[in-house]
Amino acid sequence: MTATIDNVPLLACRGIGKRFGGAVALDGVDFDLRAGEVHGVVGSNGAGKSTLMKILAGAHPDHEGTIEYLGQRVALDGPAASLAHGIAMVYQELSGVGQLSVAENLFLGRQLTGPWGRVQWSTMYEQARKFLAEMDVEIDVRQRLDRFPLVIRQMVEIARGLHSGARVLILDEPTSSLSPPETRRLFALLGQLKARGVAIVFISHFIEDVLEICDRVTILKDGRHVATERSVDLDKHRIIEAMLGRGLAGQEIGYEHAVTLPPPTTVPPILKVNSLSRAGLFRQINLSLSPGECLGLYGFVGAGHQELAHAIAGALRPDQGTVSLLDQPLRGGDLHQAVQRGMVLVAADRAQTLVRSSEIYKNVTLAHLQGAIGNWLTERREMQCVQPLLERVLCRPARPRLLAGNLSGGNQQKVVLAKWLLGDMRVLILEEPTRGMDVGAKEEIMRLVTDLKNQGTAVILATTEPELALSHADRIMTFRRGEISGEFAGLGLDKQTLMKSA
Amino acid sequence: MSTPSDKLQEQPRFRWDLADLAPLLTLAVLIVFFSLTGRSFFYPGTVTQVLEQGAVMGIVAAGLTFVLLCGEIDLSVGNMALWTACLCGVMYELPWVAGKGGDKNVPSVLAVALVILLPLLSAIVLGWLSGVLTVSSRLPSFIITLSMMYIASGLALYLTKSEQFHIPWIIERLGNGGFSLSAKLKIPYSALLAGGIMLLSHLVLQYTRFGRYVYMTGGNREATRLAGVRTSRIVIACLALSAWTAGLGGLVNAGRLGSITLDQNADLLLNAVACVVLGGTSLFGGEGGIPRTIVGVLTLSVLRVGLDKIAWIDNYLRTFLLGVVLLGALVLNGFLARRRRTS
Repeated sequence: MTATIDNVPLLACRGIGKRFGGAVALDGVDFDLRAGEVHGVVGSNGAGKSTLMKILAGAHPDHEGTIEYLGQRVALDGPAASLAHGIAMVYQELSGVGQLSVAENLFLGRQLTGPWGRVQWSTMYEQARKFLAEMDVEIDVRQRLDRFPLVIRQMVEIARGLHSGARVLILDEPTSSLSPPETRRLFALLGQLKARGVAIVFISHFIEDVLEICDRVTILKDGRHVATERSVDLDKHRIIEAMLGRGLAGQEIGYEHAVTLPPPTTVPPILKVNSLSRAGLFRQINLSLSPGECLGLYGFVGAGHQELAHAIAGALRPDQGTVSLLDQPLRGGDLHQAVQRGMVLVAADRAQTLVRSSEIYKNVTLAHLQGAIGNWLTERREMQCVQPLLERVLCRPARPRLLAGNLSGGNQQKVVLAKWLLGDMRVLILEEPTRGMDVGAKEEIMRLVTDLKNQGTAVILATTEPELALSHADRIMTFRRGEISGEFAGLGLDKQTLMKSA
Repeated sequence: MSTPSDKLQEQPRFRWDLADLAPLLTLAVLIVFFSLTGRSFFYPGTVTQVLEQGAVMGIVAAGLTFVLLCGEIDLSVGNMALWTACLCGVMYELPWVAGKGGDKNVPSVLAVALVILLPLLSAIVLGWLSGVLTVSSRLPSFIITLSMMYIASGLALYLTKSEQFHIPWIIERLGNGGFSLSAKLKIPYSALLAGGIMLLSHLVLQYTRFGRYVYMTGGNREATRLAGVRTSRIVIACLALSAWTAGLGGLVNAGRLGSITLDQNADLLLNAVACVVLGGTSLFGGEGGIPRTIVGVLTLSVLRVGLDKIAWIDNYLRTFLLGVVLLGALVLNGFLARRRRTS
């Protein structure tokens, strides 16, 4: 291992910086990559991992700093330039054209053609088969790509990168949606590629995976380089410490010291979830929730807790298991019934929760038209309903006739909450309620949620941000690969313990 | 700090701009143009002609507006109209309706009511079926209603065996009769029916929950579903509604022509879609409404009547010119609408 690691860097980045408007995404980051190593990149959300990788992939030509490839300064001013320098990226959300065959995907954009542009199918199939066989993937390359499991699709994508002459492979969250045996298979392949001198950048939230496969690990925090160390010198505890900013970078942030979760409530539960499962997303989930309680569901992206939130609310049909509200079972996947009974969902993606092309007041009254306005809709009645609500949720500007799409993200979320405030709310299910918002809006939204909770609404808070869960949840369940990996209630809890449990 | 009621008043109720007015302007320009060029255009009789031309299109376009507003399309309206009319004609000539005396016998009111209502019901059932299949198969309504188009026309062909059928007297009266306001100016009953349907549709769309759900479903299907609205039912209802108005349009058209044959309603689908879109209702849902459809129907009718009145145009060139003017108006409207969205 040491022989390959001590080679000259294949890729050396010095002082890489990038701003989006006023916000600094990356600030003077150094990063180097040697041939034949797997280099892990870790950091919390917003640490700058993906910005750095996008710069390497040529997506941000206007960055600061210099990049050297084999000692020569290069300008990665577009995806084509990066590919020409042998840098290939395999994205998390796949990748490849599902409707085309495996072979066509392997040769996407550079099909083998004979005279007059005739596609040489037989040669293409043969080469594709040979190439995948080298990676120990034995499949029928004439089949459609989307008929294969995710790991095969990922391997085809990797093969495509290598086949186009890549010497640097960037893998973004490659294991987040793979099962453990599939992960083993991917790691075996990465080992093989390493031996062939390919350099691999491995970005992941799964610190165990990073420690297992990587030779060196670079830790980023808030757009700055914290450390690059050999993984044999690291352990999970130290990586999390560095990601959270203790020790090396110095600057302290909240929730390193334990917050004390309140003692478990004795109020009888309003919501019971019984062995809820959905293939590939979550398995055998049991939980219960009492009025006036906030249950945090915490996990990394892809852990399944967000889909679970959707399934509980009836937006996603579970394969098996039941959700019952006040001891009466709900039909799985029947959102209308759930809403009528007072269980509502605020999904993370506001493109899915707001009719942006319609006025604010139409969005607010949408869910409870009959109860709040009646059968005959008049503008006056709607305005009388909506105006006080907009002021209560501090929507700015509080003008019901404005198009909802013209509001800022935080205010759009307030409109979504106002929609549910119009009717009875027994259970409020929130998925990433404050994603991408500034501090002020975040606070206003969470204060609304807290008010509701104090009035007796049961709240489920599904999030990938540990700070959010720690500051608002009374009880926290952590998720890992679709299963509950820990539950915390009535004791002291800090961010490190929480993240380690996920 | 202003009070809530102050805020209510300081906001303008409507924001008119060029894009909203563009379809109306197109209509005005056409009327002025034809009044200047066509010698016989600027007469009361023209109004009657325009209304007669527009009535069938208007009835069908009203239902189609619902479908387009919720983000779907119904390609079967033309053949649905044909099927309904054919079923009506065939049933009317059945022995138990016509009676022993053949054509000279006067059928009972009940029999005539059945002969009219049953075909309309069959259209609703077929439209409902399109809706259910669209929602359950998750295929675009484009595909499903395309198939339904063939099914309806096939049923009509099988039923009539390409023969001509009579229609109940009341339908003939509906298609041809009218209130005479003066010697030249007549308000056709069919136009009154179309107006009534338009008014009803407008009230439903603007002031009922169903209407609001139609708009919101078209604006963002997923968001509306997540708000607890059963959007599949909305889509099904819209397609059933559209089939019903198509059937009604077919009956009125048969009445206007005096009998039922297989070659009717051939260009009804394209005309109805053109009317709705010409008025400025979006093909992608959520934007538009009945007032726009009315402007669209009038524009197309004026265009057709007006072109007929310009004597020096080659007869074989009229359809081409109709297409050119339509294209120009649509592109202009679309351009203005896009400019509004980006500004």
